Amino acid sequence: MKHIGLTVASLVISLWATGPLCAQPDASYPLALLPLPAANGPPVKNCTYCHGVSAQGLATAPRLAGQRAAYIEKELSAFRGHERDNPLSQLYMWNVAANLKPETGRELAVYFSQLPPRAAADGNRGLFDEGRALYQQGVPNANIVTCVVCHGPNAEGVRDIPRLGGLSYLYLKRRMEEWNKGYHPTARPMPQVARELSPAEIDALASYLSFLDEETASK
Amino acid sequence: MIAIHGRNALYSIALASAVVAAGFSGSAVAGAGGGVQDKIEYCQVCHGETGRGFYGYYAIPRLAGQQPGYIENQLRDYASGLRHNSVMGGVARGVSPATYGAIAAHFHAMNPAPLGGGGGNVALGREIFANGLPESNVPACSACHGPDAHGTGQIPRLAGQLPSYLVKTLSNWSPERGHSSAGGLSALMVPTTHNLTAAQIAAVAAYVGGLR
Ligand code: HEC
Ligand code: HEC
Ligand code: HEC
Ligand code: HEC
Repeated sequence: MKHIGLTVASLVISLWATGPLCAQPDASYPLALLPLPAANGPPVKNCTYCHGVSAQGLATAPRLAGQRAAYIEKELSAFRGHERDNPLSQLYMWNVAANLKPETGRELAVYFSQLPPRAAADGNRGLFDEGRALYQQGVPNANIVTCVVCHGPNAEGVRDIPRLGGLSYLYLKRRMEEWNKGYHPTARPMPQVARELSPAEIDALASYLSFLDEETASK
Repeated sequence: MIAIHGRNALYSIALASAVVAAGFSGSAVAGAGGGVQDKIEYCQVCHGETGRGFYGYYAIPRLAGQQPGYIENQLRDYASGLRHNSVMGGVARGVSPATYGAIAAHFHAMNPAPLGGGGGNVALGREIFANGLPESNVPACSACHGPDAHGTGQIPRLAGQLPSYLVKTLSNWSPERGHSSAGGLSALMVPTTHNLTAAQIAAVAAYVGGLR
C-alpha cells in the first residue's frame, strides 16, 4: 500500500519536474523517458508521501503546490521552533522539520512553489457567494477585516503571505478554528483576524476559498 | 518665492486646524469608552500591532506618530467617498465619528522604528525634500511637512511612511484624492504630484521612508 502510493507519487512528480530540477532520466526507472527530479535535487518524495502526488494535498496534509516559497520556508522554521504547535503539526511536521537542513527546506520550498496548483473544490457550493463577500469586503461593523488587502484579489498570496485559493475546505476550516483554540499564536495577524469570525463565517470562507483557481477567482 | 508660497499655505492650514480642532474636541470626549479599544485592535490587524504599517498584497500605511488632525480628515473623506479606496471606505463607514479623536490620539502616541523597504536615490530625495526643484516648479516639501517630516496639524507626517505606499499615493493623487477632500487641503498637493517624475517620487519616498 505504502509502496504503491510512493511509486505513483514519484511518477506524477516526475511529470511536473521541469527546469533546473530535472536532470538525466534514471535508467533503472520504468518510464525512463520522463523527466525526473535530479539525483542531487531536494528530497521531494519525503514530502509528497504525505502531501500527495504532485503535492496537491492528501487527507490532512495541505497542498504545497503553488504555495509561496517564502511562506513555506517561514512555516518550516515555525515547525522547527515549535511556534506552530497545532496538533497535526506536532504529530507530523515537528519531526520532519527537525530533520531538514534549512538549505534543503529552501530548495523544497522553491520547488513546490513552482508546481501548478489545482483547486480542491471540496467546500459547500451554496456558501460560495457568502464566502466571497466576506473575503472581499469583511464586515467593518463587526470588526471583520477584508482578506483581500493581504492575501490578494485572487487569494494568490505574495512573498511570505500564503496563497489560500484552492486549499482544501477541511484544512482551511481547521486552521482558522485552531487559531481560536489558541494554537500558533505567533502567526500575527491571523489569531486576531480569526477571533472575530463565527463558525458559520469560517465555514463560508473555507468553502469559497476551496473553489478558487486562477479562473474562478477573477470573477 | 516657493518658500513664501509654502509658508502662506502653512498659515491658512494652521488657521483651519484651529477651527477643526475646536469643532471636534467635544465629540472625541463623548466617544471615548466602550468599543473604541476593539476598534483600535481591528485597525492594528491591518496597520500593524505597533502602527508601523504592513506590507500585505497592498502596502498598508503607517499610522504611528501620524498627526491626529490628518487622521481625522482622512477617515471623514474615506467615509464620504471624497478619498477613493474600497477597503478604507468600508472601514471608515464602520467607525463612529464620535470616536475619531480617541483613535487618532492612540496612533499619534505610537513611535516604532520605520519599516523601510524603499529603493530610490536617497540623496536626490533629501535634496527635493529640503529645497524642492525650482526648475520644475516643485516646492520644498519641508516648507509644509516640516524639516523633520513630522507634519503638523492637518499636514501629514511623512517620516517612516512605507515607501511603496508613498509612491502609489503620489503617482495616483488626482484620481484618488483630487476631489477637494480634507476641506480643500488635498488640492495643495496637486501641482506637486503632477510635476514630479517617477524617479523623483521614488527618491523622495525612499528618503522620508527612512526618517524616524
Ligand atoms: C508524515 C506526513 C508528513 C510528511 C512526511 C510531511 N508533511 Fe508537511 N504537513 C503534514 C500535515 C498533516 C500538515 C498539516 C499540519 C497542520 O494542520 O497544522 C503539514 C503541513 C505542512 C506545511 C504547512 C503548509 C501550510 O499551508 O501552512 C508545510 C510548509 C509542510 N507541511 C512542508 C512539508 C515538507 C517540505 C515536507 C518534506 C520535507 C513535509 N511537509 C513532509 C504532514 C506531513
Ligand atoms: C494584515 C494581513 C492579513 C489579513 C487582513 C488576513 N491575513 Fe490571513 N494570513 C496573513 C499572514 C501574514 C499569514 C501567515 C501567518 C503565519 O503563518 O505566520 C496568514 C495566513 C492565513 C491562513 C493560513 C494558510 C495556510 O496555508 O495555512 C489562512 C487560512 C488565512 N490567513 C485566512 C485569512 C482570511 C480568511 C482572512 C480574512 C477574513 C485573512 N486571512 C486576512 C495575513 C493576513
Ligand atoms: C482591512 C485592512 C485595514 C483595516 C482593518 C484598516 N485599514 Fe486603514 N488603511 C488600509 C489600507 C490598505 C490603506 C491605504 C488606502 C489608500 O491607499 O488610500 C489604509 C489607509 C488608512 C489611512 C490613511 C493613511 C494616510 O497616510 O493617508 C488612515 C488614516 C487609516 N487607514 C486609518 C484606519 C483606522 C483608524 C482603522 C481602524 C478603524 C483602519 N484604518 C483599519 C487598510 C486597513
Ligand atoms: C503647500 C504645502 C505642501 C507642500 C509644499 C507639500 N505638501 Fe505634501 N501635503 C500637504 C497637505 C496639506 C497634505 C494633506 C492632504 C490631504 O489631507 O488630503 C499633504 C499630503 C502629502 C502626502 C500624502 C501622505 C499620506 O500619508 O497619504 C504625501 C505623500 C506628500 N504630501 C508628499 C509631499 C512631497 C514629497 C512634497 C514635496 C515634493 C510635498 N508633499 C509638498 C501639503 C504640502
